[in-house]
Amino acid sequence: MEKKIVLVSLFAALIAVLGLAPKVMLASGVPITAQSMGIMLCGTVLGAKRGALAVLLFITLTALGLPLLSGGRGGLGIFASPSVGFIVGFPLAAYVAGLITTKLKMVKIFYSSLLGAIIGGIFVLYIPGIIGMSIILGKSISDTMVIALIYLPGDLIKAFLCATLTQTLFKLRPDDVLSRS
Amino acid sequence: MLALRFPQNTWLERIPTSMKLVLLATATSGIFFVETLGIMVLLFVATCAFQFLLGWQIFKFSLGLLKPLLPFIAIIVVWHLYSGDLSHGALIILRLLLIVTLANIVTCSTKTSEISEIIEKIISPMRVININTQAISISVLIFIRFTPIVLERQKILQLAYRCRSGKRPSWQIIVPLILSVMDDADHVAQSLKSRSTLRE
Amino acid sequence: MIKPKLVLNKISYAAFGKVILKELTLTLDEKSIGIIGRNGSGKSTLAKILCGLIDPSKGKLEVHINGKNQSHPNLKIGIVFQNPDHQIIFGTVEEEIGFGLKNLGYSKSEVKKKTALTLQKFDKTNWTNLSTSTLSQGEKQLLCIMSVFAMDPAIIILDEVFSGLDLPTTKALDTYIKNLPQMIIHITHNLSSLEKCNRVIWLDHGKVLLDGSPKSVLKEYSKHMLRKVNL
Repeated sequence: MEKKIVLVSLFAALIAVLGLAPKVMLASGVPITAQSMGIMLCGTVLGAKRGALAVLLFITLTALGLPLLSGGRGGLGIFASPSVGFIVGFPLAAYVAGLITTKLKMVKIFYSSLLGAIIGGIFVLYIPGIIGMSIILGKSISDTMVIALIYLPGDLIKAFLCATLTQTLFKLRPDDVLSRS
Repeated sequence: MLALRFPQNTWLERIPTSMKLVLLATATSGIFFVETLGIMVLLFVATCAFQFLLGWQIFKFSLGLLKPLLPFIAIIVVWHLYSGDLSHGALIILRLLLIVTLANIVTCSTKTSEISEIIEKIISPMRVININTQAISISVLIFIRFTPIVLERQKILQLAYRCRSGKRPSWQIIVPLILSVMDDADHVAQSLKSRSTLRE
Repeated sequence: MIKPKLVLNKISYAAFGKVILKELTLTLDEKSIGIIGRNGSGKSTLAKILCGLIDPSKGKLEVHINGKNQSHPNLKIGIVFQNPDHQIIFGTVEEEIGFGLKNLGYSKSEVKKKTALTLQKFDKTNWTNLSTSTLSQGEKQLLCIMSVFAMDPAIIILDEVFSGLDLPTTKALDTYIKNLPQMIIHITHNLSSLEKCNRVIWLDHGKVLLDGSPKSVLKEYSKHMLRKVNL
């Protein structure tokens, strides 16, 4: 019980740290951070419920003013930025990623977490993300989708990395990968 | 862990938090109805002037908080240069800067404890569906305590990698970082268990 | 006051296919007991079993406090671990000490009073509102000891609490430890701090190799450790 609470809290801290780590420049000049990969990992490693809780913990404290969103953002302002939809969608993304990883027990964890990361971390996340962005930027949904496409290649790489990491962690610390225990 | 706060105290801190949040919500929704560039410019200038009157340090600080929005602003500028509708682009940019600035003003002039009290009030009906509030408060504490520690560990791993490879690592240190976090979880959980009586 | 007593009956522990403790049978009731042994000998595992954090794979542990056999000794046996960073959760000293007291069910005012009393006993009243992140490693470790002490346990287990501390800090901490009124089970590599113990147990590969007075056990242990060892 204590272990699960602590894992949730520490993974939430991990999301913060992955966002504070230096950004990686993609070829297109768009900086990507590992933070959204942290979201995917919460789902694929901790499972649906606890993954979502970890993400919720992270968002709540960032909204309270801790500057933990990538770029050092924090406070209520994060809900006024174009990323608002993504932020609101983060817990759902982690939940779905975790759900898929857990439900597809018969499949090797690499593939189930890859599927989870892509469906949860990209498909499910981009829906509220694009809606939020279109409202804040005052653009149509189809226009916003074009803008969001810039992030797609980076997110696909992150999903792949997430699956690799989940598989490695499952090999080394099987008991701590709550999505499969 | 330091929350975002203005570098100096202002009279804003004496305004009750609930009032600030209501005003923020009203202002933000109202701003979305403004379609005229002229009015938006006026509102933006007024907000800047307001912060300037609060103090130069505060004005500089607030400006700094807007830096992460630069990539989005760049996208809007490029888009509207391409589509030729520059005034609409300016409207969108100013609106974005305005609502983020207003939200930041509220955040930076309010004690974290006061915002969290309001959040607690909103959440308290959830106790009915049996949410373990003790577990939540412990999670919050561990999160706040450990974020700087995990950050420190990431920096050390980066240094260790650099001094043996000469290059900066990116994804290579994530596995050791997560493993150390999982190992920490073991120790912290046992220390927690030895002093508390959390129920399943 | 009746002395606390720990009775181990064929306690064994295995995990991940490895046997860590082999049929330990001991009765522990001395005021201060030292436990020594190489890393991996099972000392920490034994500590965790004694305070109820993990259950033995086989065998029975009886914990007698105030003459009664405790079924959940958890909070009556305090344990301080090696790394204070794994144990300190709160931002201020007062909150950290108050945590265990709150969990014992004391009211807000009682928690405040007992915390102040604890700080007074250790002569650290000026620490009350200090931020835990500004404490040195040794000070953090003292805080961990105080936090456990405040809960008024019958037994305190110290699991290599001197790790990473310099000599002066170790000596200072040791002075505090020697003045603790509870039954102390002290696991450490710092042999000099065990010289005044009532009993020293040498654990090796999960079994008791030597058990007796500090003078005899520590002498044998030092002799053995100084022989060449292959990694």
